[in-house]
Amino acid sequence: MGETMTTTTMTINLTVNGEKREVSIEPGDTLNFVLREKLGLTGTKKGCDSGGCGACTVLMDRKPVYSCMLYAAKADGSEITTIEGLQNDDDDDDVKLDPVQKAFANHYGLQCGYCTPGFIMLTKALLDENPHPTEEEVRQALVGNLCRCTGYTKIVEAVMSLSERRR
Amino acid sequence: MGGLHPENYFKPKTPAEVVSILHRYKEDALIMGGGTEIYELSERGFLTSVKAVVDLSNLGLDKIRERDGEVLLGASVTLSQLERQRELYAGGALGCLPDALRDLGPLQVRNMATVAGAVTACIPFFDLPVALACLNTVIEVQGDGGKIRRVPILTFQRDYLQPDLNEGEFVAGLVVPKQEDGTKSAFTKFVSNAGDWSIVNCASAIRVTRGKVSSAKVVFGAVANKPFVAERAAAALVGTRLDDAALESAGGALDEELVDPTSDGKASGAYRKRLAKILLKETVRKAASRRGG
Ligand SMILES: Cc1cc2nc3c(=O)[nH]c(=O)nc-3n(C[C@H](O)[C@H](O)[C@H](O)COP(=O)(O)OP(=O)(O)OC[C@H]3O[C@@H](n4cnc5c(N)ncnc54)[C@H](O)[C@@H]3O)c2cc1C
Ligand code: FES
Ligand code: FES
Repeated sequence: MGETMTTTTMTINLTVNGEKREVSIEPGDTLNFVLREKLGLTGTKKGCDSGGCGACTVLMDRKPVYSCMLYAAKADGSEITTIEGLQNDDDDDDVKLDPVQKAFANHYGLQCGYCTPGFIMLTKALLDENPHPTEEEVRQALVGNLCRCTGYTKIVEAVMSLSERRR
Repeated sequence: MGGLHPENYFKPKTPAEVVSILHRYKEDALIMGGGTEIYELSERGFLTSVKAVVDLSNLGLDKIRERDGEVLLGASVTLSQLERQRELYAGGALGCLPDALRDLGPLQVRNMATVAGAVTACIPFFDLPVALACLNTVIEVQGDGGKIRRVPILTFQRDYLQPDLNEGEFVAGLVVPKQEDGTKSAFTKFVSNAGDWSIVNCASAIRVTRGKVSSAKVVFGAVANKPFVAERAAAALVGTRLDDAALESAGGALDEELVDPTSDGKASGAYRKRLAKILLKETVRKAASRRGG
């Protein structure tokens, strides 16, 4: 940052996982930074930080976007869903997983898990728009997300299990 | 250090406000579309002097309209929004657009990236500008007093990273003109892997009347600093039945006119030339065999 820089702050309003949040940001902050560092929602990961890996995928107004390269100021007024928004904690401390989360777990669609929040958010959006994707459609939809562990086979199986079950 | 550290982030609601902010901040203003290319540039340290970001997303320029066969795209229309317009593509004339959009980066990028950003970036290996150039798209540039200048895309993209925009101007929309009846178009590209930029890409629009080509256009990307129109190759196709001999002679014409294609770390000029000849045949055949209309 240059010495003469006089960065100001601004306020944005987001609905994050159904909850209204008012956040003070610098105009160049990314949504990924705001979610992780300002709102403490560290379920959304940062991998490449340049639109290449998908670990940072969240839903903005139900559409998957890369939070690492999305300026938070652009997201002002929108609805953001992160991985934390999928599970419901009920009173008896039992965590209820979303069907997509369950499918990834049941089909071993993860190993280290770093890519998983991104894959799950993308899968949510995919099934929202196309409840019965073919395997080719699934593979096509997942091109923007990388996994260094699983080799993808188990991830595709997890997503296809949801496609088939709903048929 | 790179990044984007503006003092102000504006989301103006009227074109007049946009123009006034642009005049106030001059070269320190940055117009924001989806921000996907801006992010890449800022991380490379190119945008450290930006003082004011002017985000156009509150101008209501996110509409797609059809008027007498012309298609009007607002500047903020996203790439995934355009990709979804199935009814626009049913006739086949605009087929090169969904061809180019389908594999244009991941969905997460297409959901943010705008048509104006894709064109104004003036990056020669982008895909959409090549398809739009093949359809003779016109860029609507808005400036002082709401005046609109209409600039053909190949004039608008002056050179690498150099759009034809003066201080106080911004892109308000794109006009894809009505194509002649019976026109079919297609787009293809060659990449080394699914996450790669085009090494060469190609769009072609072909009109066949009673079995013979009555008009042809062929445009290549990533071979020069802006889309390259292969006029001689296209001329060699007119009057033919697109048989092997015709495509061969179009390839020969391309050899002559594509004198010095881009040579860089990715591919030599000679390699790009060979690829261009292959894509020429593939794209022309794909366009001509397209259904619809
Ligand atoms: C991971 C990734 C993969 C990609 N893969 C491909 C690919 O396969 N093929 C391909 O072709 N492209 C690809 N792209 C590039 C993509 O096409 C561009 O990033 C995108 O089109 C830019 O649009 P934008 O709205 O985000 O532009 P922005 O980043 O907002 O802006 C780009 C430039 O245009 C200017 N600008 C924007 N809107 C206006 C306006 N209305 N008036 C005046 N100036 C304006 C900005 O000031 C800036 O200089 C990829 C990008 C990423 C991040
Ligand atoms: S961290 Fe956003 S795509 Fe890799
Ligand atoms: S599970 Fe480790 S990167 Fe995907």
